[in-house]
Amino acid sequence: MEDDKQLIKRYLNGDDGAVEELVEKYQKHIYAFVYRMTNDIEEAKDLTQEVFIRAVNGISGFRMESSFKTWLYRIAVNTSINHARRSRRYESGIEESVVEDRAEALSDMIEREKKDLVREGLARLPERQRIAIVLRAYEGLSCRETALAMGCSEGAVKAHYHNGVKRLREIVTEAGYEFRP
Amino acid sequence: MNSGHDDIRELLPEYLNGLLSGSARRRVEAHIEKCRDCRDEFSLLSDLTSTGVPDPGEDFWKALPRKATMHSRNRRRRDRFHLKSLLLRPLPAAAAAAALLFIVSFAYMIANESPGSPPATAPTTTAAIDPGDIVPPIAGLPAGDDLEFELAALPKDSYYEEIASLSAEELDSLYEALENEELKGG
Repeated sequence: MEDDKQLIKRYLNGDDGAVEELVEKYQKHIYAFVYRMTNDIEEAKDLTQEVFIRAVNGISGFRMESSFKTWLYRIAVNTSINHARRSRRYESGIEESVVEDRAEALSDMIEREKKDLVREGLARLPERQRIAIVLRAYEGLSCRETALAMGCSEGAVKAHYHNGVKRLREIVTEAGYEFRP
Repeated sequence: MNSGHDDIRELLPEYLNGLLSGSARRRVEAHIEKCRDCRDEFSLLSDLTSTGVPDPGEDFWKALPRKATMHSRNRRRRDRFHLKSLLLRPLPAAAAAAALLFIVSFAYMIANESPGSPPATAPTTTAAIDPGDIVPPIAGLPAGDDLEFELAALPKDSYYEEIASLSAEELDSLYEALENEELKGG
């Protein structure tokens, strides 16, 4: 597969097929990120599309100083923040389809409840802490990449990430759950 | 909390996503084996990431790249159209300016034409006399607007020859006399 910079050059030279390849390459990452931010499939689909439309609109201004992936995440971060400000729906619950209602062993049920608690706790974290955790833990971005995507310093990313993780740990322990040994 | 402890915590997300090299991975594993605090944090991160994201379906994954490509094509088309508009825009402006200039010039000419000034066609020499300008009723001439004829074809007793033989000064005097008659209504 061609690297991103070659694809971007192809696009800038008039080849629209390059956009198709870039979208195919990153659509699942971006969808996963915006889903973590919205907890809603339909909103995540709409926002993923919005992210790529904005990327196409701005690609001619992309200076290739950072990676395309980081640039794309930055658009996704801004799109998610704007969406949250528009809809104020960050407090929405966990998607029904994710939480399956089925008979299960007590230990499994406790484990599932703890996971739900953690994810709900994540949804209630301050926006920047939440974004730092999602980009670092879920998307596997490095501290530097996360800083570029969030438009802040690496030190700020570390602070947001650690404060968020600390708060989640408090939520779990306050609810009486234990971490797996 | 020592610096080694902090370093390991920084590496936990990468470790979780399998992004660490062999030596770094072994260092993290050795640390969380003996450090309860870091083990709890790793357990929390594992809980966070253990639930997947619901799949929006194959149709969505297929449609999205096509939509983006379509948007890109439409955008290029719009950009080209916009460029054409920019290039063509000076033409109507130039045409409007030319029309305005014409109207102003025309108005200026009309305004500067004084009512008592002699007509621009006033003859100064015999060569400048246009027979069409002096059209007395002469028997034998063709009727109507078309009064083209040759001086040689004129009757010998007509005063055309006399007029043609006048000097410039005489013609000026004649012209003045005719004009005075015209002013008097004669």
